Amino acid sequence: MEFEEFATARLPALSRYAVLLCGDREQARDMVQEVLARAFLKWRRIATADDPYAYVRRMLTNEYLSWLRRRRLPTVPVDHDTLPAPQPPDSSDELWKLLGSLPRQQRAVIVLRYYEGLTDQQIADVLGCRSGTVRGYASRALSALRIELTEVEVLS
Amino acid sequence: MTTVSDLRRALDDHSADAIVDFAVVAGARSRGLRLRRRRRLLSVGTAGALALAAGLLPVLPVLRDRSAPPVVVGPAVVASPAYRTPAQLGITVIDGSDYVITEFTAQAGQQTAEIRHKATATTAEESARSVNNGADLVVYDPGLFDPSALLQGKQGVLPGRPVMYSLADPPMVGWQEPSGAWAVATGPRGALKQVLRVAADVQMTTPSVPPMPFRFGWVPGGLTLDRASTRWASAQVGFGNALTVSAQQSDDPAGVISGKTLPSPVTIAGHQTWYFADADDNPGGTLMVAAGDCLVQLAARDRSTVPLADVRRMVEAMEFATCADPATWGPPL
Repeated sequence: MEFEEFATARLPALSRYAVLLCGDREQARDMVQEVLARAFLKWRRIATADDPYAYVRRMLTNEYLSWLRRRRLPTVPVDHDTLPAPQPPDSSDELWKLLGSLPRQQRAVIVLRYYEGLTDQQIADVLGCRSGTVRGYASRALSALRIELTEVEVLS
Repeated sequence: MTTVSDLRRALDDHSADAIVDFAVVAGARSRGLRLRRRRRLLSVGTAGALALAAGLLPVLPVLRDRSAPPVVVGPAVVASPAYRTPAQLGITVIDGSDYVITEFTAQAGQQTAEIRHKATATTAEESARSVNNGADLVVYDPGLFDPSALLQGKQGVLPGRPVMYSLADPPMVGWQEPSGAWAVATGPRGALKQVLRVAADVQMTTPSVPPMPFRFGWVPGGLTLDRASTRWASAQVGFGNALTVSAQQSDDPAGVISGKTLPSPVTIAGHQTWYFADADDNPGGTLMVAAGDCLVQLAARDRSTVPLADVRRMVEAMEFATCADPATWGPPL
């Protein structure tokens, strides 16, 4: 698979994942471009990986967790005027606001578990930690988000 | 009761906030190619540059009277109109500095600059994670920054400049310019010295509209330039909400566009161009121009305000530089 083929096919998924991680459309776009640029540099290795998307998603997660991207200053939007603009998050969306207040690792765990649908072990592989640590992050995050778990969800 | 289902729904809903811009793919490829070239060219010199950087130790702050209570100044209300126009930038680094401005934005109320160490900013795509790579600077127009929190910090002095700094996370260093503008630099956790080094090298200059890879020969009446930004080999200016003009380096702009389902190209002033109106009921329209190594987009928010005829006339009168070589860039107006 060529880089362009992969990037074009996976851009929507990566963009959605990125915006859920950082909560900022422009920052998410910059993060995705930066990560794809680095993926391009080592595309031979990525293309032969079992799951190139998982590889690039891990790069994107690391990009999000690195401090500089969090400290990025807001910039003038580039190009997005050419696209239909989604509405910004509703300020009344309490859950989304609470999600924005989570520590980065906790937020990443929540997005990986409940949006990307990964298991705790898979999340641990992405974050480079133990699955127990993932469960700890998830537990604290769900508590902060005031999520009530059903019995099934607790057992799982 | 908030449930996991609510959480999943919130995530699904907000995933739609993402900007899915396929120009990102071309931009990523171009940036990757540039990074590869830089790494090849500079791989030999990197070790030397880092060693040099390591030898230039920071100018540490000399603490003044710590017992003196900070002076708390309340925010003024109105910025001085004479300070600068919104698209003008007045930030630079001193001659001989180890730091460079890798990205900036000038807009109403503030200027921002991403300032990075030369070694890490030019030799590796991992610069964002490198030790000692710099700080982010915001310069607020006079009267638009409330310094009271910063003034609760400690006082120090850098060469020729008293500063206030905070050990909070992130560390923050700020000072007030003679113009009344406040400059605030922030950096990563525990890197106060690094932020101080950057602050010591920052210099304010007479604000001016920064160089761009394009120059306008004609602009529709009533449009005023009110923002400008660059990041690596891409640049953008804006005329209020009416029109945005951006340029991005691309090794094959025409190829990038041709691969998409866009209209047949129309040649304007020797450049291949493609125009498309926004879908559905959206009133905007965009003209994409392949100009040398630049992929230029002129995006009008409302076709009735800035019609295609005006955009065409703009392109006819535009001059383009080499996107990959900022030395060729000049004033956009």
